[in-house]
Amino acid sequence: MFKQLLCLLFFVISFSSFAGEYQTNEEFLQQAFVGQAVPKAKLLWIKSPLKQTVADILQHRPSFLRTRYWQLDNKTVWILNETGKTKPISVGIIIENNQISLVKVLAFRESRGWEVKHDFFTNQFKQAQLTDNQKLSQPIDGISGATLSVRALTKLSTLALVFNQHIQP
Amino acid sequence: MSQRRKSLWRWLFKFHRYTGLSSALIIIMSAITGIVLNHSDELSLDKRFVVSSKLLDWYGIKASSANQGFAIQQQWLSQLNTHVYLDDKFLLDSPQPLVGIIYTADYRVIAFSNRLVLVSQQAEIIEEISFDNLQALGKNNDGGIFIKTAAGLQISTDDLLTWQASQATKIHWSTALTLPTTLQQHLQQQSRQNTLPYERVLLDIHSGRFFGQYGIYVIDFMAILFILLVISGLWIWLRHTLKTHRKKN
Repeated sequence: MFKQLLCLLFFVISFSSFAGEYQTNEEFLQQAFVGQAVPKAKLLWIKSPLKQTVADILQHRPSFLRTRYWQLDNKTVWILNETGKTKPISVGIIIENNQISLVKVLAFRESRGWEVKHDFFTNQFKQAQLTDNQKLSQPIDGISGATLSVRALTKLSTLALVFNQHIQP
Repeated sequence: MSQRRKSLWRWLFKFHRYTGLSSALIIIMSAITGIVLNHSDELSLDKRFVVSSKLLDWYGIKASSANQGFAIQQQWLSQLNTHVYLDDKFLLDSPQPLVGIIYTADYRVIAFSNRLVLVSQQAEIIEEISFDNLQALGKNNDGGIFIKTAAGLQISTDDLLTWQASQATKIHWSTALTLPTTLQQHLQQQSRQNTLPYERVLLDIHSGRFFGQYGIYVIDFMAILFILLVISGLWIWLRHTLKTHRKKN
C-alpha cells in the first residue's frame, strides 16, 4: 500500500512538472536579443485580407485582431498563442532573414501533449521558410499522443512567417 | 447427451437470449452516446449548452444572480459565474473577477484581475494582455489609460504597448454600479442556460451517472452482462459449428 502511494505521489509530482510556464515573455525576448537592448514592441493589426489568411492557417476565426512583435534589423520576434485541445499554448518564434531560427514553447497549460516543448521537436522548425502557398517549407514529424499540440505549433510557426512577410517593406 | 448437460445447454440458450434482449437498449444507448462523444470536438458539444428547463432541473442547476456591473456607452458589462455579458449578450469567459471597463475611440478595454482584454465595437477580441493582481482600471481626460496593480499605479499612452509608473491623481476609475432590475432578471435566466454543456449530459448518460447514484452500478452490471453475452454467444456458436462438422463427417 505504501509503495502504491509512493508511486502515485511520484506520478503526480512528475506530471505537474510537465505543464506550466517554462520561460516568461521577457526572458524569451532577452534570449532573442542577447547582448542587445530589447527593441520597443510594434503592433500588427490583423485586417482583411490578412485576417482571412490567418483564419485559413488556424482553421478557425482568429481570437485576436492585433499582435505585437519586436524587430531589429532582419530579425523579428513573435509571441503567439493557440489552443491545443482546450487551453492556449504560448510559443515564442524568432525569424531571421525570413527563416525560423528558433521556436520555443513558453507556456503549456494542457494536460497532454507537453512533449512538444522538447528541443528534439522544436528543432524541426529551424530554417523553415514560407512557401508560395503559405505552408512551411519543410515537413514536421508528429508525436504520438500530441497531435493537437503539434498542429498548434505548426500553425503558429506558419503564422509567424506570414506576419513576418506581411511587415516587410 | 446426458440429461444434466442438456439442461445446461438449455439454460445457456435461455441466458443468452434473455440477456441479449434485456441489454439491447443499454447497448444501443452506449453505442450512440459513444459515437457522438467520439466526435465531440467537431460537433462543439462542449460549447453548446442545454436549454431545457426539465434537464437543468434534473441536474439541480439553479440560476445565479448578478447585482452589479459596469456602465459603458449606454450598455452594461456584468459577470455571472465565469460568463461575461455585454447587456444580455454573452461576450467571453473568464474565471477571474471583472475589475472594470473603459473605452477609447477605437476599442473598449475590459479589466480582469489577471489581464486586460481589448474588445472592438463589434465585440471581437483584439488582444489580451496579462497582468498580476490587477485591482482597478481608469482613464484621464488626456486619453491616458491607468491600471492599479500590486506594483502601484501605471499609465499607458501608446495604445497599451508600454506602461510607466505614474503619480497622477485626476483619474476616472471604472466603478461597479447596481444593474437595472430587468437586466438582472434576464441575466439570471441566461445564466442557467449557459451552464450545462451537451458533452456533460452525454458523458453522464454513457457512464450511467445521469440516472442517479446507482446508475453507474447498473451500467457496470450491464457491462459484465455484455462480457457474459459474448462468452455465451461464442460458446453456442462453437458447439453448433462442432456439431455440424461432426454430422458432415
